[in-house]
Amino acid sequence: MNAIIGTPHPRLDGRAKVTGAARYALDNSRAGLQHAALVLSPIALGRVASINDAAVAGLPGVRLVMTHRNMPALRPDAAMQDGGHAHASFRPLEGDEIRYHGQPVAVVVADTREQAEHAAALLPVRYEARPGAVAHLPEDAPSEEEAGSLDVGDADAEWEASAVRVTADYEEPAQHHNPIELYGCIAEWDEQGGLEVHVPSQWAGGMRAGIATVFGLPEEKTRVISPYIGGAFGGKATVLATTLLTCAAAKLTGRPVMLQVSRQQAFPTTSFRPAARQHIRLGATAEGKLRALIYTSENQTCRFDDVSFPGGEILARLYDIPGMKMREGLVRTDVNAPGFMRAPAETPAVFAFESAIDELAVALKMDPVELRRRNEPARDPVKGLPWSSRSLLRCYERGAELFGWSGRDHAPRSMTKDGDLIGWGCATAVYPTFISTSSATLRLTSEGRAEVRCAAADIGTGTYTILAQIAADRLGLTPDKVTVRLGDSTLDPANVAGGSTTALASGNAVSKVAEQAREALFKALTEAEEGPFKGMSPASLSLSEGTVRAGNVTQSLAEAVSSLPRGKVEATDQWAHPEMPAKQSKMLWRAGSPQGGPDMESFTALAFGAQFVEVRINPRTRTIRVPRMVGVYAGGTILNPRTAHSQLMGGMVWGLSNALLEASEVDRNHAAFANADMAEYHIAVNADIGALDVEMLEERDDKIGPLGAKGLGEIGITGTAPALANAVFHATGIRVRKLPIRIEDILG
Amino acid sequence: MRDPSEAETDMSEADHLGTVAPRAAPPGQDNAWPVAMLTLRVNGQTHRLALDTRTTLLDMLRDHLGLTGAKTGCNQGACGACTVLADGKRINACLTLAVAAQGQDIITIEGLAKGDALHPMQQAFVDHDAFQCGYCTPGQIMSAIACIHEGHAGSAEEIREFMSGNLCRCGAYPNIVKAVQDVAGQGDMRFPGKGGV
Ligand code: FES
Ligand code: FES
Repeated sequence: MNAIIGTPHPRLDGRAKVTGAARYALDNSRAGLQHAALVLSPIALGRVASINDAAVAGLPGVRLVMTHRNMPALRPDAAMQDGGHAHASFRPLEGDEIRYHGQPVAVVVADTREQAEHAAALLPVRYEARPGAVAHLPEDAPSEEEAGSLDVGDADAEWEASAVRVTADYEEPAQHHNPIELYGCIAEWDEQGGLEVHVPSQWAGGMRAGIATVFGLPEEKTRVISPYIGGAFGGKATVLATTLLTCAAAKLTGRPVMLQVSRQQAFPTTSFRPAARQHIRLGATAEGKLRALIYTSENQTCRFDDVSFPGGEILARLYDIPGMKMREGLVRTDVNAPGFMRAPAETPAVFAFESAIDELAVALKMDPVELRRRNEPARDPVKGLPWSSRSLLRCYERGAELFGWSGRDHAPRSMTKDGDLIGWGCATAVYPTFISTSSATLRLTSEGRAEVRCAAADIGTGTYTILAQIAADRLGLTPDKVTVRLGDSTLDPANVAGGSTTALASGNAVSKVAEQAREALFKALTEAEEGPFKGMSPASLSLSEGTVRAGNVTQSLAEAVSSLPRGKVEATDQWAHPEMPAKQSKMLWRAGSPQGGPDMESFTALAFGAQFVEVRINPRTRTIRVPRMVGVYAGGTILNPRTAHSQLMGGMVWGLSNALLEASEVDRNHAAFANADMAEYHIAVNADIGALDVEMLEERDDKIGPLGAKGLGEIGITGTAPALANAVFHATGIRVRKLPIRIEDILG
Repeated sequence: MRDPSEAETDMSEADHLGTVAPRAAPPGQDNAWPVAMLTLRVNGQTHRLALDTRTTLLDMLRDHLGLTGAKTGCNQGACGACTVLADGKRINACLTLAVAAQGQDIITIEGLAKGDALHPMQQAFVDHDAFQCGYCTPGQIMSAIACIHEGHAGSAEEIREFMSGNLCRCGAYPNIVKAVQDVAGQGDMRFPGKGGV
């Protein structure tokens, strides 16, 4: 069998994407389409006192002004973290209450977008504001409510006994995903009361369930279609209120409705990464053996749901620390619900912790790579379980070599080039290997092709391509002979494309059904009344290069399948890890989101990497440039090095953006996100990215599932900000503990 | 700070959310916006259509001509997802009114391939995995073609600078630079300038 898994096969959806043929949600304009525009609240707290819809109802083209007075009654749905499918349990337009700035208060539908936006802008709304709204993470944040806690050994005693100690506080701002694709959707009801929704989705099945629940529809009458997603990063995992509003508006007008949420309006109405703060106490022996980690954190959330992303559980897996105590708190603020954003728990927590580790290395006057070497845990420090695989030190070794780390003078402010300050920093990258489950169907056709059906998503990750490779590998075909269908709720259930889980879960499901289809084919051919393989043992048959073979007897796959009575062979099944309890894995069929890890019954699984960053700082202007970054990762089996490379590279670009640029600034007077557009919310542009080296080490992992592939979508971001902040310290001697790092932070 | 509850007629607080401040229609205007009869040449084909004069070139392409390759990312000139060529120059279709695009040769991503044969830049984007989600890609490719034609693809550094008007949230930048360098190195890129494809 030719090796197909592990080869850098070009993306199968490449041609569609470079020709403009790929249809994203809002590319599905249709006859009779009406356009919706949102009216958002300029107050953060209070109520809508009156809306004079008559003032715009008569404007040209206007078909509907939907407010809390005429919005159809919706049934409740919990937020995803609470077992539902919604972004937030609180929904706008269900009453007159305003709970965050920019909350929708009306939807105007008209024949054209221009008419709808114009009328929305003219809609007179009177508000009664209440004072006291807070949208930022207050400095004296009360955080009694617990979002997570963890204890290992006696942290206080270890801290007391530590010879060298670091105490530091870190802070990260709120951030918005800002995928380049605008949020929005097209909703159309048919005459039988069925609903079709084109919406960018990381979870077609989950969104279908959420929408069906809310509108009281049977699931089979609800369809969510999302074959292409213009960037998701966690923000398109749950049912947003804007989706429900569009469906409701289409129900009222009886016509298909498109809502294109403007870039600005997306800031308050969609998901975001909440602000967070960490207080770290880290103790070690004089030789650099870690003894104590005392970690408390404050995590911003909203008033109506308990959404939060405590990262302590992951930090506890990085090093061998005998005493650990983690206390993570929730801080309620007057914002829309926050949500998953690329490595939601890890990104802020790893920044804080890996900065603290660097501070400790400085206090110890030790090479920070050496410090990590001295604290490598043989087993999971929390559960005592063996690692499924762990290659952190190999990543450091290779990364240091690629980067030229041995040339580093560890003293701060010691390196310069052409008059600029040079800083080198490193940090660990980590992401838990969450083990999910998925189903799939594979059909062999009389054309000698394979068709894979799975409701998973390709959010740019390469899912189309790797699933085709896996099927092709199992069936002795080339990947172009495999058609993969994804992103449609009518397909076989898959879990949310989140937590870097799709490659392993859907990959194993496809592998399983491909093998089953192959065996079914062999069985049918050998049991057939006639044909070249009649009477042979199925075990003597094989499939390669599109041909069924048994010794010298051969038949093309197309002929073989055509010869069968049904003219096709089909297999459907679910893959779940043997250590996932059956009760949990069955949830997949009820649009649940079952997921295990990082600790399973008999092992703990995480992916690790080592990141190295060089910064170059102008001594007078203090501008920070990043001429090069190196990331070395181990992620088990690399299914496709090309798409995996892009995932890791994209993660590192996100990391730079996170470290130097991104913050959703809060206007405290109005409790509003103030820089709500692409001109003022800065993300990395091409010129911000210098040389970027990604390497993936070989790593074998036979515990996490047959393919042994750890998810790589999120790990790339995690180590970048701390490596960069550590480099800034190395260049300037100034420790910046708050992101993003800006010129004013390093004036010295 | 004004009392936000007085926000009935002037919601300037809401401006940064992108809602235009609601003001009464100018006197004498009944809000029936003028419709213009437009003639546009797109990918070498002439289209005649009656459109609300507020319609942008981008919305015209996407919603009225069904050319959804050009993408909407901000409607503000900040992301480049809507980049098309107008008489050989890269422009943001979201900042161009359809009425103002008359008389120019507009080339969109759909106008690049010759049948099954991809334009070299399209092929280079596939070869170098210069995208992930693919949403910024049509704009990147149009911009990249113009970048070379402008003479701004002399070095990786120059490409980075002159491709920085096209945001890629997936972070495909290093591979985009490689794709542009690849095509620039081939020497004879097919350029769809004035006169159409
Ligand atoms: S949509 Fe035109 S620049 Fe963003
Ligand atoms: S490929 Fe996703 S935004 Fe560029």
